[in-house]
Amino acid sequence: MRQFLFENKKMMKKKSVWAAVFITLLSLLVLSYFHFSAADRIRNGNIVKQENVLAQYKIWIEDAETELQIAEKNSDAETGDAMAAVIEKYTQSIVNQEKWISDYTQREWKTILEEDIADFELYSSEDGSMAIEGQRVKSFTLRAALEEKRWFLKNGIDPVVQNTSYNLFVPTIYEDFTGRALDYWKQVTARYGDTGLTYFYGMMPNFLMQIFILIGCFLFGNSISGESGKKKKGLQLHFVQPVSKTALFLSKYVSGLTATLIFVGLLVSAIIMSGEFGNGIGSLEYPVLVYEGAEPNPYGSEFNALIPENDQFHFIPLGEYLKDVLMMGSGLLFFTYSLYFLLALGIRNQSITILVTGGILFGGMTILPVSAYNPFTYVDIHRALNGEIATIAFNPAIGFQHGMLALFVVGTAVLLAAFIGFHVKSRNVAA
Amino acid sequence: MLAGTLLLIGTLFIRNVMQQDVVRAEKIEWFSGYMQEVATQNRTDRQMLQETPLEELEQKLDVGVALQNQLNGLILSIENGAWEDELQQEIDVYLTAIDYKEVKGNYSFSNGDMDETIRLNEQLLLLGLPKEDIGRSVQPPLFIKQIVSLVLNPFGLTVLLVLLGTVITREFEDRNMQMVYTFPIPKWKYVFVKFTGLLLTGLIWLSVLFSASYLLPALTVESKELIFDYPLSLANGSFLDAGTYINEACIYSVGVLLFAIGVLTLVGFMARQTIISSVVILAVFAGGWMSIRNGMDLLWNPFTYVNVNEAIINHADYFPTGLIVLFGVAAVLLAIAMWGSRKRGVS
Repeated sequence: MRQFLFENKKMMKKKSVWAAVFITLLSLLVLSYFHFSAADRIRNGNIVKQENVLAQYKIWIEDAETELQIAEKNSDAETGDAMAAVIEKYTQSIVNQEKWISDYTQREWKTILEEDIADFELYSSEDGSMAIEGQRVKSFTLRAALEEKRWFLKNGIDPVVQNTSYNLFVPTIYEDFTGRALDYWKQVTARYGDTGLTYFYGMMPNFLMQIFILIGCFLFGNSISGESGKKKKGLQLHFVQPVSKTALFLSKYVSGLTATLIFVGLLVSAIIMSGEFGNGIGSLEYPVLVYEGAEPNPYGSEFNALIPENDQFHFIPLGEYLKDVLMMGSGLLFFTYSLYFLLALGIRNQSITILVTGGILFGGMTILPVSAYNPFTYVDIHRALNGEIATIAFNPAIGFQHGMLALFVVGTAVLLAAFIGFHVKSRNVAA
Repeated sequence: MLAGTLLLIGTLFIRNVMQQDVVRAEKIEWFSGYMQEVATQNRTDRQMLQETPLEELEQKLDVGVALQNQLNGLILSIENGAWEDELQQEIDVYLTAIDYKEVKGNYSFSNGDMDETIRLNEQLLLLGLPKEDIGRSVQPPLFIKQIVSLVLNPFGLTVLLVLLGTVITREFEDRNMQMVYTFPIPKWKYVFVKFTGLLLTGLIWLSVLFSASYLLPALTVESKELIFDYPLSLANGSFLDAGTYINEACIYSVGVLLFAIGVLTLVGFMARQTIISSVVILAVFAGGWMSIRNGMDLLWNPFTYVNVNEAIINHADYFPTGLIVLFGVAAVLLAIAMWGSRKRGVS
């Protein structure tokens, strides 16, 4: 324990580490501020687009009024009636449009969602469909978008900002758009979380947690390599002290691991709290899409295929997702930190160590076959938890429980390897 | 760093070679999907015509049948590897598909995309070049383009700078600077020397990157004549030949390297610690990436050019003015670094 406290004290005394933590936090907050400003700009852009439509209605009414006057002058009753109908129609449209703008501006989502739900009920019905540049939106996506809207309405949750203010789609893995349709789809389904929680959720597919973990390892995982450089030989001093090597190893390992855990927790909290720059922290009831996976084909895996009409999904509250992310994130942190610690025994340059660690994680995730017991399958925490990887691999075993097991078992094996490596290194240093 | 670069280029090239048959299989699968779509409509139209003969429907069926036959011919050309037939038949398919849509047929590929492909195929036929999968080609200029997209971007540059950064920060961490600063050389000169040294290292790395990406396919695969004239689609709808693309990519990458080394020199001499400078560089490039993602890809923003491929493809009109921005910002950063370290000592 004393050794552990000593290691912690040493770490706390390093000004450079404090400075790096401060800079990371500050950068994160500045980037978050930019993000929320962008989300706000997009939201305002949506309002402006609708105001332009409103102005267009007014122009059409003016034109119709002019034509009505001419028709009255010429005693053309037919044109007069038609123009009166046009004026009435656009006057009603203006009322609706003004109500919509007012609701959207004040985040009164009830009416907007009810209208959107009615549209999506039609699109996802047997007779309906929806196409972008001639390419159909899959039934799965339409159903998911409809259910998401129902969830919003039922739980009184605000949807996040998108580049469009109507037909708010949810992006799913079932879409296979190409060309211009793909570009358009990417544009309309890009989501900008305007609360801390939705921002965090939106950034998870971009490997936010993994980046935090790697930065944490980079800052706190050098307790051995930092003391065994060409000019810094603090480790040799430790070896002549009456301290067991196991205690020395564990104290260095655990102090760094604890610091990394606290650091990652701090960054996650900061990103959620940064929602105060936007529309607040947000609701833990925000819906998170979870794929239930497709049925494996009984005639063999080569016939497996996603069936957008039949495959199922459900939504879970963001709070539940967050809990799982934090737990699996801890598992991944343990695995990554152990790997970094092992590599740092052999590589003195911490920049190379972090790049090699990142390379192994990324390489393992992309090259190794996806499997329930492969820890690299769970590097992409978001897609492992929302069932995306399990659905694409037709392997329902890929999920939270197996992920935690794989990460902890393999992480422990790597830790043991690091322990053996430390003993070998200590002998070499002594020699 | 060089070993890692060569390993990446080698691995990617082997992957591309192995993917050549997959590219053909995927093309067949792609057009088979469309043929199935048209065939289903033709079947339904035939049944409807038997029940109620309609001129409009008959016209649609005629075009549909022609389209189905053309798609079939196109698939056969792909299977036989007859690339000239393939290009011509693809043009015919799209012309018929546009007509098919006009008679209310469903062909789920946008007219804009079809127009663009027709123009590309016509250009390729003129040049006598087969169509390449841009992301999986083994032809030298297109392979270079793939490497440029993969390496010369914010992520690749951050990795490069984190690795190079230790050249400056280690001097402070190992306290070599205490000795160096006793030499009768002005501190600003030392900053400039470091900048030049890093720039030279970066230039060597760049030349290895481009040479290896060119030589590997050029020496192992038969290059097509006029392959450097291969037309690449730009965001503004026009084409740029692959040779010009590579020239611009080389020039831009030197500019971007200059800018990146400028950032590194400033951050390295200000922070003097590996972890701090690495974190700052990560934050700077992440911020730059975010600014571009949020629509700040403007002429004066140096981060617009950090993703070299996107700068050439999406902002063709920024060349060569963008270089002035990169050189200007690099000069300012270097000047600040030299001025900042003028009176700052080492503890």
